Amino acid sequence: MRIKLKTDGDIIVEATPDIGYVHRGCEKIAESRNIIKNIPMLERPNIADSSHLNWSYIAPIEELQRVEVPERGLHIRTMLCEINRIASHLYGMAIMGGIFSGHTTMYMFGFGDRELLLDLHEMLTGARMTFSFFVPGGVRRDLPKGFVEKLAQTLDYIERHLGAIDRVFVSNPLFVERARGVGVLSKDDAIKLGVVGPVLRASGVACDVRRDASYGVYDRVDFEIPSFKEGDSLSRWLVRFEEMKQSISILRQLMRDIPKGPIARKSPLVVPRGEAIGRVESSRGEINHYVVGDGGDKPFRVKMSTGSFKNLAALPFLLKGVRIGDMPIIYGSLDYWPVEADR
Amino acid sequence: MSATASTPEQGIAVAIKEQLGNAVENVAALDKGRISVIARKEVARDVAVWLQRFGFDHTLAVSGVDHPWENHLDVVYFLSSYSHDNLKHIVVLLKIHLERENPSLPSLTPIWESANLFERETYEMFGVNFEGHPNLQKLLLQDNWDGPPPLKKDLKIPELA
Amino acid sequence: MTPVSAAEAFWEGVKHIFKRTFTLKHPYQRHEIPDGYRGRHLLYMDRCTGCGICAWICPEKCITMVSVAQEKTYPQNPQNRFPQYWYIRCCFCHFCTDYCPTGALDYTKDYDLAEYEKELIIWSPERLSKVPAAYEEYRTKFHGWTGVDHVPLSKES
Repeated sequence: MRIKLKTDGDIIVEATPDIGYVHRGCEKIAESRNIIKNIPMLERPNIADSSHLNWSYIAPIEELQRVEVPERGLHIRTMLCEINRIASHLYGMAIMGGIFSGHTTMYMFGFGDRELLLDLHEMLTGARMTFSFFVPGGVRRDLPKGFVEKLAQTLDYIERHLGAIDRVFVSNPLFVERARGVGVLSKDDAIKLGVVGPVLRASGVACDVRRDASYGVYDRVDFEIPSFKEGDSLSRWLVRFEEMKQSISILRQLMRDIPKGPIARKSPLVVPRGEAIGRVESSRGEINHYVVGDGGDKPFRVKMSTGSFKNLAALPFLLKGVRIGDMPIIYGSLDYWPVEADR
Repeated sequence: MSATASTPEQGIAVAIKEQLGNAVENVAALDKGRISVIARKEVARDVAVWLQRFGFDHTLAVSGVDHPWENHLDVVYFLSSYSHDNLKHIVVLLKIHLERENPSLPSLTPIWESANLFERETYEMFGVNFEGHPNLQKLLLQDNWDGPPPLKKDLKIPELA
Repeated sequence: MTPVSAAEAFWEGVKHIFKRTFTLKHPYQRHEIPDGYRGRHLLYMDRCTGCGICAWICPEKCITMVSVAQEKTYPQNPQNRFPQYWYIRCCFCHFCTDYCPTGALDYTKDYDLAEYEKELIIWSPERLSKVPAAYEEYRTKFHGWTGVDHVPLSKES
């Protein structure tokens, strides 16, 4: 994507984002493939956080087919989604705290820790990034031997390293003074523009689909939803930092008692007549899929609405009247993923 | 709210039907917190203003669905609420039936600013003209696209051979 | 910034002198790959019946059924049809492996598939049935506050 700026000296007067450079026509192609063949294609718009796109596409199909996922399958789905959330937040924080601030330390911290989480993905699903792991009715594989022990060791390491990031960055004026008070989004503007995810929670609205419209096993675990009142770029960075700690706590609770039983139920290869919606909270915001079926094995219409597309409305609003030097910080704090917005 | 409503979404559906009466053609409460409201094109703006005052303050998405065999094209607005705790888990599907040739609809962007970019995408993908939209231009397609609207069923793409 | 927090941040950097290195010298030291890794496919020609379900389910349509030169007869495959993979298009989802009714496809740890010529990217059934070579693998080991490093599997227990 590119941003066209009109400036008056050093101050930005108007900013127009120009998107559509990676538009691949996912929604049109999805009408010509059957529901299983769509899974690898529809999870690739966001490779860093693909399990949420996968779940949000599978959930309406299961609702239409009236197939209930067994308990163990839901548990494994939730565990994979939380590991993926930590990995995706490390990516987002590395890009904003590191690259767009001008140094590479945070980038190396974030991507180095992410390697350990990608090893966990590889152990469970077989792939490091885009897993295609959820199918209608359950998941494809069971937990391998030694997974829970390795997960416990990795979480201890990441928690200790988050403390190091806290000491080096969160109290360091080289980073904090660039981000504090920059790009303030008030609570009323956030609700009016319809932003989602950490951008919304940093402006004082504590809404999260995992709490409001629970799916998976989120109604059985205890976690908090971090939110701040200031609404500036530093709050958006800190919301992601706190959410990682909450994800570590959720994973520790989920590791304790994993239910036994089957991991998947049989599901037919048809989309019955009707329509259904999927709602899932990914690391960049809420993802919705709207699936209309006509009785065949191909969906009649698939509409994807991703977090990055909804947050795009805030970018021209926030860039008005700031200096050019503040633009990378504001853009990085929204954690915009171009492929997810263009599909 | 009627005393015989058993679930919150049924209560809200009954309230919508009582208030809007013959402005809407059908109100149905589906399970899992979904409410479907079908409105005619002429009263779409009034229905939207009433729903916003009721508490649904942002749109999750705006989509078009093309039904060539039933000869109509739908525009669906997905609404939800951030400010009211009892409405947070509900999604309202506001459906408006349009004709397939030169469809047009008064834009709902003055009511929900969050529908701005979604209406632009529906304009270029389905050819729906939103009257009164502040900036109705192409969003995702390239500037020199001169073909028919891509997501209508008239444009057929070959299956990957 | 207070002098105390400045000292803490500096101390975090000094601690790195004592930490272990995480780096692996690829390709001389390769990371451990767990079983079930989704690399290229392994075809058991004694089990394939030529039904073509793998070609039907493939999302990218990269599998075509071809006939092979008959050095050995395969009684379970009377029409002499075996899958041929075009790895440029493959997305390594392994739906073909999971959907095969006789279990004729399997996972391998082979991921170095780059070639200099375009024709070599198309893998014939005979080439797919060769088992890949094994190599020494290094496993990640956690050491408390000194960090993470790698040990070769042959030296471990």
